[in-house]
Amino acid sequence: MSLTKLIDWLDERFEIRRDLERALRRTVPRHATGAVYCLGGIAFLAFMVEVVTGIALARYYQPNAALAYESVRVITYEVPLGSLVRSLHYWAGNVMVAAVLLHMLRVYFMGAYRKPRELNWVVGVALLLLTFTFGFSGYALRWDVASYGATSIVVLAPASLPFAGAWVMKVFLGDLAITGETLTRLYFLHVFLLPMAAFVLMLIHFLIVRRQGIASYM
Amino acid sequence: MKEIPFFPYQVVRELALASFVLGVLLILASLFPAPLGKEAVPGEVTAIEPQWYLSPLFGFLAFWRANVSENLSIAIAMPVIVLVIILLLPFIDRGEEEAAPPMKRRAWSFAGVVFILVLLYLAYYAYTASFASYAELLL
Repeated sequence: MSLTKLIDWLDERFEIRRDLERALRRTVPRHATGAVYCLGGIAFLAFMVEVVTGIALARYYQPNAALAYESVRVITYEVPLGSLVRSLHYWAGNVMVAAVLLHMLRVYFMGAYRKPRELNWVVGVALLLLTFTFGFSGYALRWDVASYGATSIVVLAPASLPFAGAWVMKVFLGDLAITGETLTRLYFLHVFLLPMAAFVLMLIHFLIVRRQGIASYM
Repeated sequence: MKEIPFFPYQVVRELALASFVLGVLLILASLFPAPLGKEAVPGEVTAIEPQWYLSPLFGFLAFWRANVSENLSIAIAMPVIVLVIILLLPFIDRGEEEAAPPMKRRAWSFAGVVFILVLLYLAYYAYTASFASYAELLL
């Protein structure tokens, strides 16, 4: 079946032709095609790599303190292409954080967060926090000596805050020491709660850009 | 012409960039595989390696404990305050135009550069801090 026939078939049922043509005929302002405007897109691309490689890793990872490290070792040294997929996940994560930070700097130094784009800046800051939490929770899942130590500080430092600190950390992590329970909760955060929140916030972020256009001072 | 057609021009440009980024990721992943140290023993902290993007925070806590106070409550609250300021930036900077070149917003640009330098210094502090000074943060 040719592409035209497929589109005809879909158009007959869903009347997609008009929307499709409108989408393809859209124009992009020339000022927004410069190199510094690609950073948000690179962050999104890296996120998609994280989704694909993350699904593959979840096939072998064991979110259980007794088995976690061993399962990462098996992924790294025994599963075919395991090391490559894990390394891609590792590097795409780092590239995503870097791209998000640089994207934010670009918007900051151009003052592109000003009226009328206030709310998209707020959504962007929320996405930055999500990205950091992704990185922190994923790092903990590795369950080696270095990541365990770093995770302990990130979890225990806020718990030392007066009043609600310890309570909040207990609600989120189940315990004030990093135990098997913490690992399972961080896994749930990393593979379910954070991705859901990220999908929703990214969609809002992109729809707002679509609606408002890209800031220009020309 | 102030606008270029999304299809095919921008689509081709974006596909080219995406292919380039994916290629870079594959090369990085092949040449520098993700590290894996020794297995953690729950309850025992024998090494602390923050990720690079959290190192300014670790550096700040270590710096605070070494130079300001043993009490970390304020030090832990401060990043939250900075975050709230960043979050509210569009409501603080109410410029007339919807965007402006960095050289036209000198005060804001200067503040941004200073903030980045402080973060870099704190990251440097984190990398050079001894394990003992980190471990003290756990108390």
